[in-house]
Amino acid sequence: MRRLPGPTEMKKYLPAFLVLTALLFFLLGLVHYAGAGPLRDQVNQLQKETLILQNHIAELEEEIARLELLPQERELAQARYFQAAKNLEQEVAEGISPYRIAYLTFDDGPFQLTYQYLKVLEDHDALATFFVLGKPDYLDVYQAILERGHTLGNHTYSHKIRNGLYNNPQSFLSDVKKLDAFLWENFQYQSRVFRFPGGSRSAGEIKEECIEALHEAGYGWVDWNALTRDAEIRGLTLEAAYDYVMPLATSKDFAVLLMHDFNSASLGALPTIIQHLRDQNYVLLPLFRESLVMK
Amino acid sequence: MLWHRAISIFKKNPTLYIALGLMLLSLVFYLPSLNTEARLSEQKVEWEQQHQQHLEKREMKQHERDSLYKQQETILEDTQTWMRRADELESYLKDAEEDTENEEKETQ
Repeated sequence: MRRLPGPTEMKKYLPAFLVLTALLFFLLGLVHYAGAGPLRDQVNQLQKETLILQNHIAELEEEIARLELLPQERELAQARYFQAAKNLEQEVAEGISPYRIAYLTFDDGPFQLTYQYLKVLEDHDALATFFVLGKPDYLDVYQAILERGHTLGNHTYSHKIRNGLYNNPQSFLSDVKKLDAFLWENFQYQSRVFRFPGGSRSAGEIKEECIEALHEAGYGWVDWNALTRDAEIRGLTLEAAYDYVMPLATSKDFAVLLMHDFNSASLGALPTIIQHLRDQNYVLLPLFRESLVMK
Repeated sequence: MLWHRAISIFKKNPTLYIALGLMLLSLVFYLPSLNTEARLSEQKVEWEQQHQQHLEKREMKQHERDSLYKQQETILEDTQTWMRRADELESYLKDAEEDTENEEKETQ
């Protein structure tokens, strides 16, 4: 039988044992590092791809910022238009302009027939003002009016002249604000022009208080000085509508024409009215808060 | 003194101390390698999350950009229409200026 090495002999083999163990650890280390190689490649790849994504996101953000400026340009163009309108009004008021101004206004809508009014206005490249009520079933018509650049005026939500609208300034203002909220909620549109249902005289004794409330709410208001009588006369013909409104309108430097966009006689007369107003040097404008005819 | 003492200890059994040194070196090499895989796995998870977040963000921004592009055409058309309308109104203002100038000339 072989004898087991004693402590002195063990001491002799210790360096060799240590070198072998060191070699083993070294090899194991190599195996670990080599094994982690693909993982490291994956991490590097992910880092590169993330960096590329970051750059792409930055480019997209720049593009979005540029695109977001476009509505501002539209607003600037609109502001330029209304500034020019204001200047023109001023010149007409001072009597130094060869032109006069007409404002086409349509009350109590929207209606399904409003689309046909919009078509006529579009064909004649004319802007107008629609004094609307609150009608949730006609959301698409409000949208169509706004998309074509016309002014939406506040005509109260309910138009209930005989059912409490003019009972007191509070009932009046709450109806005005109800339409405000309706227009804002559905179209983010804030109207600043107002027309009293039935005209300002309908407000009776509370008229001054109503006007004060309107001004406090940021509104200007306007009546009319020419009309087709389309809400008064049954079976009105387009000739009668035209014949009534034109002498009234053309006797004024600032003609505010009242029509109702439910009426087919006014609709039929509208192309001729526009054409003849222009023939007599009238410029057609939509109403705006700073307009000289707004009170 | 300490150095001389270390040399003298080393000289007593150089093979042993060289072997010990090698052993220590290999440990220095080996021990950190034990953790490499775990560390890289963690990093991978982190980068995967980041990558995913960036992918989602890019997708969201692309949607936003695409929807703005869709609106762009309408907005540009609207802007041009308002510019044309403004030009037209401004031309009426010029007409008024010209008329005034003409009147002044006639008076002179």
